[in-house]
Amino acid sequence: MLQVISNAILREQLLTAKLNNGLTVYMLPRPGFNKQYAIFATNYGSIDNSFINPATGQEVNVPDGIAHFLEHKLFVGEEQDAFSRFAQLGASANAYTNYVNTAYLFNSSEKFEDSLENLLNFVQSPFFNEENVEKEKGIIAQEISMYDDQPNYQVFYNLLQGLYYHHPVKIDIAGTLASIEKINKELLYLCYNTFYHPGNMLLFLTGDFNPEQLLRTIMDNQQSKDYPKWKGIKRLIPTEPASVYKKVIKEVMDVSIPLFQLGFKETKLPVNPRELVKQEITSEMLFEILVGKGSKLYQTLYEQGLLDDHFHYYYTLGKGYGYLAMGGESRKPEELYPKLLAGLKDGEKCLKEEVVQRQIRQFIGDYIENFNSLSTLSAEFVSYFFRGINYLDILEIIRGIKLSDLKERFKELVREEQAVSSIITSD
Amino acid sequence: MKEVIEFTHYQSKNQLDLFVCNNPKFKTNLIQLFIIEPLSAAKASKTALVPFVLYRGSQKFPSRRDLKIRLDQLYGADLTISVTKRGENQILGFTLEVVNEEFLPEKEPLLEQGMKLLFEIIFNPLFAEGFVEQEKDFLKQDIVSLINDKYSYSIQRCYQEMCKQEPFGVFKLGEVDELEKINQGVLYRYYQEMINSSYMALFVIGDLAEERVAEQLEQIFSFRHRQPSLANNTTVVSAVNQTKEIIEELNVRQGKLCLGFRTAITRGDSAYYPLLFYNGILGSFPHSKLFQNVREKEGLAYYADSYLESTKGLLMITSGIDFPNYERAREIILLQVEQIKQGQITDNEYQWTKKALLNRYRSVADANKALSSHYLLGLINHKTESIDQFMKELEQVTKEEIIEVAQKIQLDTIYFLKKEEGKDATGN
Repeated sequence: MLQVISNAILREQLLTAKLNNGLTVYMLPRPGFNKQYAIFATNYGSIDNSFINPATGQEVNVPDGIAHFLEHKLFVGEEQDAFSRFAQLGASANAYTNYVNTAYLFNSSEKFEDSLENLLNFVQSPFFNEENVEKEKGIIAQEISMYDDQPNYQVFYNLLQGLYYHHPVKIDIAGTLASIEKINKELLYLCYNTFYHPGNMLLFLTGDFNPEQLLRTIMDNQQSKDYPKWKGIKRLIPTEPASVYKKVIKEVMDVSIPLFQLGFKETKLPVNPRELVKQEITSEMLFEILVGKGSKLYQTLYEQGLLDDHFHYYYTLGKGYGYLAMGGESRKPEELYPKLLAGLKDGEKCLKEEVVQRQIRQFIGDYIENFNSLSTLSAEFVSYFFRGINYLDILEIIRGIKLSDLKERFKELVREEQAVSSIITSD
Repeated sequence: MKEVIEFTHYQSKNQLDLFVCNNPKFKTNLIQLFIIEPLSAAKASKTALVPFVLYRGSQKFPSRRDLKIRLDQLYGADLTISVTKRGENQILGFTLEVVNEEFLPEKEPLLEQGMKLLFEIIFNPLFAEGFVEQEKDFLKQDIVSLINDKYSYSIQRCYQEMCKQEPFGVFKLGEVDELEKINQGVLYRYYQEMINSSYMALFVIGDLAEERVAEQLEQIFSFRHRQPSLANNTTVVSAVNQTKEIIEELNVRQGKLCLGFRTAITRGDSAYYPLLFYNGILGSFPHSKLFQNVREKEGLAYYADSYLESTKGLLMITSGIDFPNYERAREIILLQVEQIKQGQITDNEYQWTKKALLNRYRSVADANKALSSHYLLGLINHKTESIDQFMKELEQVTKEEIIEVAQKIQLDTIYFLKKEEGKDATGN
């Protein structure tokens, strides 16, 4: 029943099964850990705000922030809220929504099967009414205000405003105070019924447990529920121009030192999963070489006092979008930008075989380290799964990166016309 | 219940405390060196500056870049430095984590190379004048930029007001005025004194042979050192004369409410176990009174939490709220505190908190850094029981003991950060 995927280098065995209702199950047993960890995730995030209603065949546009709102509301059941049931079983539960996924999770060190059933049951039995929807608006409004007071978050949010014309990745995951006001129980049910079909979901379990016994529990649980046949989802993503929307965005906030972000909008958006993931890792490696803490460029800018230790960079690819963002604090962002851009453009000469081999070592080490934390591992597994890649295959992808791949990425990505800068200053 | 892990204690010839833990579940080896100093306004910024200067370069790896290249060669070894405050102790942490070479195509002795690199960075520094001056600037930025994070800023301000006359009020990175007095000569002498005579402990955790690792540590970390006995430099204050209320204004969109309490109970006390229950029932889980009432019932906040400072004997409640809800939120929060004092703890609250605490401490044994932090905190408070023993103590806590602890908890300071009068959220 369970198919086995082994990785001799990592010394791990991954087990998988696909249930009749379409649900995919993966298990990574980790003997010796005290904890068990489960994550139940849907291929649905904040960017999925336009789609074809499966019941009517009509196009619908839902208010921004509804995926996140739904995540909050699923915890409230008809009889008992899911948190209470987890507390009773001694498990610790949580959930998160990002651009592309919504995930519900818990960890426990006893009664794993009971908590697992609770996880499946609460996510699969929505209960929304006018009263509990209205109350949640107040709580989420406070969550939005909390982010409004975080300049580090704002400077990144503004960067996305500059990079994109229409793509919903530019919209705040939690929505806005105005958009969440438009959410009601009918819209919540519509999104729920569209995106929470088992065929659109993944269950990932890791920790010390008996896989066969768990699979039986899961199958019995799923067989007791009725789902229509899974027909897939038609998502509508607006056409996004290749160019950037705005080159420079500035905002004034109470900050002790200016904050900045510099981003490059991606124009190459692969559809093939392996190509997509390889491009993602190659781009990260490229920027590690160009401006990572081991680069001459970073060293120079640090010694000039233009960059500090909080500097970081990040690359991502998703449905219809991709970008590289880097940023941190700088006393003189206006002086930093031209130097940073010129340094990046001049960076092709840093791409050498010896350097690539060293970075491959670094990426392998970081990847293996992720297996120490069941929560990091689970979140990574989910994120790659919905993009069509098994997380255990990442090692091989890292080892396959060539100098020529980095040179090609350099030409495609480091282009001044694709760059956007975002700055927050105090005056 | 599975076996929960313990450290084996060794002492090197130069009197360092070595704590080694063989734990086959980890795919990395973790090496940490901690230096413990008394926290004081005069010395805090000097202590905090030292690790940043060390991380700039050593004799063998004369720049940060050379260090990073070496770390990358060791399969992306992570080196992090930390400056933390536990009670009135300032703790410098140097953490190096390397992959266990069993999982690599080429079997290099990464743990040993990692130990050597950590030694090189801490004990063979370059300490160039330029490094000191530049790191002073960056540290100053870090101290001042606390205000960019209104959540952490409000908590620090509350502690500062609460412990105005006590060292605990000092920020973990020290103060700008003291920082400006430092020069290369002063700092280098301070550093030498520190490595000669401050308390140091080394932790190693991984899938390893304990005896052999202890021998390697002894051999690699052989420098001149006189280990003092580990003194916890903290004074626990239990009396509160009058509750203070501090209201400050800044350009914020959400109000930040902090309530600082004195528990006068520390990790070393037997009342610490019921105190963990008290805190759990009050505000550290979704079933806690604060989450249930402030968030779920009243919808006033996204977060309403409480947590302990277990070396100084403090408890802090924090919540982010709308400005007009200040009085109401404060009233609801204090009502929860009062209810526990009056013994209003339901069976569910008691049982669920017990389960949640046990789950939390079993989790500690699954995470290498959490494991060493837990043990280090015990060390500072002179109570180094194993996690197994710790959990046995938790299992025996009764409701009566929790209510008894509740009587001792006193509100010291209420701090509220709100929007500047007459300004809208954009500062105009």
